[in-house]
Amino acid sequence: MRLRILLADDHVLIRKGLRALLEREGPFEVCGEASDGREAVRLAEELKPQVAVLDVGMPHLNGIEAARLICDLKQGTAVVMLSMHSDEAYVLRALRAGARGYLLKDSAEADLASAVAEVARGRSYFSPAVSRVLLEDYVRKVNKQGGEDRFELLSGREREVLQLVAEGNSTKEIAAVLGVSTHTVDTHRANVIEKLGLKGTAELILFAVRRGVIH
Amino acid sequence: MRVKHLVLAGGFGGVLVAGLLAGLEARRLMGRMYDIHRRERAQVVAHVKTLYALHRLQDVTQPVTRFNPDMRARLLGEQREMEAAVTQLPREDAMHRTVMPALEQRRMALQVGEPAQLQASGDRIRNAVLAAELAHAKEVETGQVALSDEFDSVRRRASRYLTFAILAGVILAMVSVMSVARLEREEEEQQRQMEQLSRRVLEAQEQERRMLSRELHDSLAQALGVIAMDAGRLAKDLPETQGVLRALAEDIQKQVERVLSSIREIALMLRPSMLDDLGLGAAMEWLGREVSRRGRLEVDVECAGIAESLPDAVTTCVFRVAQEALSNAERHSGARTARVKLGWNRGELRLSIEDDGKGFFPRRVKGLGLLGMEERVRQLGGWFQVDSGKGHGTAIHAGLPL
Repeated sequence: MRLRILLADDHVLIRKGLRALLEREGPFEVCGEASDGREAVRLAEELKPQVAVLDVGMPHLNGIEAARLICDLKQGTAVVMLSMHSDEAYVLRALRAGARGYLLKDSAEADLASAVAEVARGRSYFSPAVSRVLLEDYVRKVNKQGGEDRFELLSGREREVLQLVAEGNSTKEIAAVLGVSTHTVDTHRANVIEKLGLKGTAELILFAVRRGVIH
Repeated sequence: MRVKHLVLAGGFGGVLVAGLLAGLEARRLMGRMYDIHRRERAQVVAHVKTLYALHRLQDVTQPVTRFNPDMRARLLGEQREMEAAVTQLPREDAMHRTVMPALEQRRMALQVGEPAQLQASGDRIRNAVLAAELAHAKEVETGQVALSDEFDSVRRRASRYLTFAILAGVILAMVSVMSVARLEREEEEQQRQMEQLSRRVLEAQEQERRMLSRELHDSLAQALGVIAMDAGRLAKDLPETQGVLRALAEDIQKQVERVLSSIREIALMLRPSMLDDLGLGAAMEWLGREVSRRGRLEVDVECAGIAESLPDAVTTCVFRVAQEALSNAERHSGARTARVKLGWNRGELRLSIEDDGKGFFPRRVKGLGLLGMEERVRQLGGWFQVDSGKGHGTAIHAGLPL
């Protein structure tokens, strides 16, 4: 069974390159191509692909907004963002919009296939370059603020939950992995968010990437 | 313009000359009046003294029938007193002229000792005194008339001068005020045109940068991206045996990716697309992190509560000012940390950038960067202020009304 993928980028050459890349690298089938955000949303609704690869900078409707609309469709389409920015402002926006993967365009060639495969399995995926930048920013900030690393506040079990949540596992999956009840997982998850001073799952994933918990 | 200057100079000169002439006329007239007054007074005093001396004429006019030696001596004494009094009058005085001959006649009569002659000379003196008084009165009267004529003519002349001076002064003042007002209007107009021009220049610059950035990003970067991707594909597709070619293809890919990332940096510098993608607040935070990442300056950004729907001109202005200020701090100040604050205060958007660098004298050193920032802010009707000094860092404050 080949993974059905929707590609959205406003440059036809790039789309061509990405399509060739994907179809060569794995059991993927590019079922549609869109040249702007609106078309991407329309095609996603129509074709119901398993994965949508969206460029951030597209005309009419940018990739992040398109990702939000596609995730709101709730038809199980996982979104990978392609961006030239490794800054957390972009990553956080993409995560808040519901994207599970975030790739730098420059390294798409190397990472796209793995990213698509990971998000299709319900996991998260970030370009190593993105993780590195986020981690460096985080370390610098922590050093500046006098070495207080909130990650140290977490218990061992909470760190496990943080990693599993950030990797994209559902509460049920986490409960199965850890051998505890879903209620316990939810409590841990709430504690993690509370201790780290975060606002929801998107920031939790961002924190995990920044802190190097996931890559 | 030259002619107008000449006319103005001539006009003001004329006013001054007319005023001067009127003043000189008045001064001359007053001098004359004073002279006449003094002369008249001296004359009156002399006449009164003379008349007092001639008072003896009562005796003179009494009929003298005979002389005795005593009486003769007394009359001679009186005669001397009277002569002395008259001699004191100026020679051209009417009284001197008319009374003196009569006195001489009386002296002869006294010497001869002829009573009838004495009597006659006494009458003559009395008549001469009366005539002299009358002549004096007439003289005073004609003198007054002449003086008053002269006074009238001087007054008329002075009035003419003054009238001219006032009229010319008023006209000149009006012309001057009008021309000053016109100059001010012209200056305002020029100022406005300059502002408009520099706004257009900035707008054009911003537009040009946006276009360039888009061009770089859309054409060049995309084409390079495709090349990099193809080179990567080539490297993978080449069989293991073609190791050299494979390494070459990988090398091409890496180099193209490096070029690509510097092109992206240039494009971002030209037009910070985060403004469009993220809105002002997030773009400012991005800017702070971006500068911090370069490692020389640690930037702290505070910009809570900034709405994303601000006008494009405002977001561009704020972002560019902060960018320029941070770039200055990074390059010139030697600062280790900087703090950027953006927030609302009394209906205006306030931006401040403070660093802990070595500072400078804003009055003396105002580079193009600072001027450009100020220009941007002023064009949107805002205020701009630089607070710095040797050794205590630099703080830039700006406010934009919204």
